[in-house]
Amino acid sequence: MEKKKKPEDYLRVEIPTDLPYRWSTGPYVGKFFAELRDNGKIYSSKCPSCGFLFTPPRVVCPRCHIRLPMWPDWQESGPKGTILTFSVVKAPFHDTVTGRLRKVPYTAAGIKLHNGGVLEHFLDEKDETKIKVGMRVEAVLKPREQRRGNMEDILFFRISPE
Amino acid sequence: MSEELIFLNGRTWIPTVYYVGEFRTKFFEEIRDNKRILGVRCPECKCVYVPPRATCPRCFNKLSEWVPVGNQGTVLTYTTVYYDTRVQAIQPKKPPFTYGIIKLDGADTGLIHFIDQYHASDLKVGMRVEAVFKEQCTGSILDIECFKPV
Repeated sequence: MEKKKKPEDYLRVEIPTDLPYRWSTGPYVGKFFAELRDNGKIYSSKCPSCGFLFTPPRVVCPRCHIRLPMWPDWQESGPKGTILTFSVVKAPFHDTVTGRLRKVPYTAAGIKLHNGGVLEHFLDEKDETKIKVGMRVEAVLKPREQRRGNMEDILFFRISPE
Repeated sequence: MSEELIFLNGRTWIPTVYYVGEFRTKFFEEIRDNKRILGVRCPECKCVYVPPRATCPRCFNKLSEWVPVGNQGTVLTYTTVYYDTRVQAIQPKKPPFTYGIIKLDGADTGLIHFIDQYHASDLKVGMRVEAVFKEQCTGSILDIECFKPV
């Protein structure tokens, strides 16, 4: 009987799909990034009904389904906060900015900002034995002239010395 | 209050690789090596499929009878693309260009490919076209450059 062929025995097709895209943040997140870029401030919005805090601010509270206030009725939060959750990533994963795989290891974390909500960002510490939930952290921003009004304006969160 | 619009840039990179399997390999190799287009015929309904496939979708028969079809055919339908996605994987040609479904002589199904015209006055359903092969063939559907009106 003829030996069963493997998929690799057949012709190979390579399709290197590169999809650059551009999207508008809308007024709420746009203002959040503009404030981050121009004044280095992180703003949160608070639901007048349930009191939940959103960082970045959102238009509608997903729990109460009511419209949330626009700037200037936002509150300044951070740059200090505490680690709510974290994950040291060791399997390469896509970077939505470059489209390529992010260099590993890196630490993704949910930061409960002082006077604000939970912001998803990175920690500069990549050793999981040195990170604990509840640790105090602080945002490290790019210098003013390098900020472009996006999430990369915050470089990472640094663990504050106790 | 005047609001500034902020735009963010994103990027998705999908390096797809796949192996085309037995039927497409034979199909592409025949185009590459002999500039000949092959189809397969169903033993029951006698339908000739181009591009070739392993199973008849009507009779569920396994297909194995290879038949050469003509390099000329008839345009069943077409559409001209003007919008430029600037993504090469989606658009291997720069717009404007025309996609058509071409029923080759001896085939019973249509093959999707480029038609070498984009002026509406030069295009017509039912027009006769002929395959133009590339000089350097690599074993892909793009070894056929396009179909040219006869």
